[in-house]
Amino acid sequence: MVLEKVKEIIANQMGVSADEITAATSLKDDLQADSLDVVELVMAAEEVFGVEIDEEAVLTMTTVGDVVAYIENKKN
Amino acid sequence: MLIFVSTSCKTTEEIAAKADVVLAAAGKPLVGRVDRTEKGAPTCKNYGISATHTDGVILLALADVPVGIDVERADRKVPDSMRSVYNWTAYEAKRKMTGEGISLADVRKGGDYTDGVRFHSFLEGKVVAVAGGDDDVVAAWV
Repeated sequence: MVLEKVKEIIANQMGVSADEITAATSLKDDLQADSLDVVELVMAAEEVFGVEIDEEAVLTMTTVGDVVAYIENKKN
Repeated sequence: MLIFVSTSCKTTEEIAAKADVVLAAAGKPLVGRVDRTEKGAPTCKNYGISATHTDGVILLALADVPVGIDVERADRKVPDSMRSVYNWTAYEAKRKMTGEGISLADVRKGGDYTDGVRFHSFLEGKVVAVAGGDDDVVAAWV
């Protein structure tokens, strides 16, 4: 499931437990992700899901749910 | 060029306020109100301004020309295409100086972005990169 995998990727990168992450979790506000974190997350997600993530889309992604929605969209 | 460093301030506005105490004492123009561009970059009336933070430390760079500053832990992992933390911070500093922000396409493509960027080592375990500004640097802890 996309959400579970995304939570795993984020947990890995940010050094938090996947259990602490929900779809509502804000990357910047709740996880304190900086630009390098976001880049690493995007590149990891691209590798795991086999999609390419648009630059403009990254700017609009604030929550974990946004990331999941984008990936699910791309895969369909 | 002035670089203010703080471990007690959490935001650009906070460190700018502290910087203003020093600037006022020195009889120099103040930062005053910090506005934001669409991309969230700080701007102010009297200086080229840039800020960065990591690991509980925040830095504020002020210059008479556009300036970009970035700080990262020296042991931070960066994408392979970006080669090293030095190169990453150099890239970020340059993109902050121009106000463009980072581009995923550039990161994917990778390359050497260190040309013309100055690195400072006054923070242990951290890399500080500055693009633009000028060579005459005064750093102050606030």
